[in-house]
Amino acid sequence: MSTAPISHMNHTTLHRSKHLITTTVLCTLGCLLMLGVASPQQAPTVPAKVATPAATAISGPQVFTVDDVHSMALFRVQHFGAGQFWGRFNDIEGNFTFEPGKAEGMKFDITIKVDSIDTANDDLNKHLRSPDFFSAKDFPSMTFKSTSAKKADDMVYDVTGDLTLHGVTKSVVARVEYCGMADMGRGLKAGFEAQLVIKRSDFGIKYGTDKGAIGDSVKIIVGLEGGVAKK
Amino acid sequence: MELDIIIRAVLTPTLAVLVVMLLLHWISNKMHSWTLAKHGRRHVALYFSLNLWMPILVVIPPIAAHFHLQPGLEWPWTTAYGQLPVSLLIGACGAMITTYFTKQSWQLTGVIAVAVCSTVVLAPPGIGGVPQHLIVALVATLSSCGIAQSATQTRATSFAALMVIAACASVMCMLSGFAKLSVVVAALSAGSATFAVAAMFFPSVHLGRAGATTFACSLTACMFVGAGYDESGFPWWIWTMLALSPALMGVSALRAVSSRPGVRLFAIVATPAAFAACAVATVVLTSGAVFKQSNQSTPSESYGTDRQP
Repeated sequence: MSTAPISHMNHTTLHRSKHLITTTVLCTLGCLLMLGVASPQQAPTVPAKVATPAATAISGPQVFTVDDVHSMALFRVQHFGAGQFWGRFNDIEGNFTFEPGKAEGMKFDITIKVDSIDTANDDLNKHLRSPDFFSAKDFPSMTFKSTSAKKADDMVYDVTGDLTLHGVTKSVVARVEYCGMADMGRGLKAGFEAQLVIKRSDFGIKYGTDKGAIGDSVKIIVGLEGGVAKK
Repeated sequence: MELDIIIRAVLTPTLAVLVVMLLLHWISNKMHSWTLAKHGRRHVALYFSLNLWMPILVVIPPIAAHFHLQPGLEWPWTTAYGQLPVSLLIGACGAMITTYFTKQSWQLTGVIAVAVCSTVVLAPPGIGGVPQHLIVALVATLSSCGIAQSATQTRATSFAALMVIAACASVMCMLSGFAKLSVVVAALSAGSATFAVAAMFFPSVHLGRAGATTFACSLTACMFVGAGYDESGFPWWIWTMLALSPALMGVSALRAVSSRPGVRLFAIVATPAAFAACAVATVVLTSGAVFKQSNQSTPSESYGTDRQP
């Protein structure tokens, strides 16, 4: 009398358990699959889609103060006619004015401290700071002040400005890519990546150029992130 | 530093100076006999004497090296390195004027004036104040008197001592991270080496008081600039030691050191050379300028002359 119901009950419980486990596994796989598809690593080309100009609506141009922790300036130059040598400047400050989608009113006023040069080698840093190259004690900072900007593409701008380096000021054009704008609870932030190529001999930094030991042409890449203080 | 730069910036102007010196030596001898025979006067020949032109010959190699590495005269001056050739030229021209002073008191006044004038135009970053200029002028004066004391007694020996001192100073500049200044000081050393060789063959080749003043002012000016741009944080007294080391040539040349001329000649070279070498050794040992590993977490490969352009 007692074995049949127990057997029937066990069979039902077992069937439900199997169904539950199968459902759980399928759900988990489904979730993992969805996460995998939506992962940023799978779609690195459109980071700005997170916050497109349309996504963050602001009224009029905003002034952003450069966040020195999340901003950096890199430079690249050919060494001994062979490899491309990279270095960076760690201290970058200033501000930029921007309204998404508009070149009018776009302004950059950026200052980089030459003393913050970093090539991951102390002796090379010293040599680069000396008058052989940047003469950091005579010219402690380099600056870029924009004079005009025009839209080159949907997210790209050509910004003309005065670059002061090694005591010499010259007009240069930087290609500036708008990376995005968002407010994630710590005030409105905007980001840009600027690229330009200069001839260092134009700025009086000629050491090693005569025989091409160090390239004259220097590529500069500046990653900027700035924020508006939260009201 | 490429060998090519050493040849073009250091050896070429030094050889040019040697040719000019030999030419002056020949003209001086010819003019001397010609003026005596024709007019019975000697002062025309003096205008072509090596004693008068030695200050210019001393500064030609470093100035040529400077302009080779940084073509064109910088104006307005923005760096003390740009001011350096002007300082060297003021020192040389001032020293040429002092050759006309016959009284000892006037000679000393001339040396002080030249030291002050040649260093006052320099304003290295951070150390361009009046007290520093006074100290630098004092060091240049002491060095000048020391070299002059030795140069009036010896010819090739004085040049040899100056060659070693300048070589040590050049190494110091290289260690501080200022390669261009290192080449300029190396040219000063190479010039002294050339004069030392020439002095062994031609008796009229000697540094003289004016040459001594020029060399002292040139070395002091280079060390002053080097201290200003020092990126390695070497103590200021190390730079002063190097600038002051020629003063020991004068101390070694005193009769009180030894009555034997051979010992004095050895002391004139060895004492300042050892003093200058001590300065460089102190820097190397205390700062680890040569042996240390990079403090960075990433590549710690050494950055030596084989990697520099």
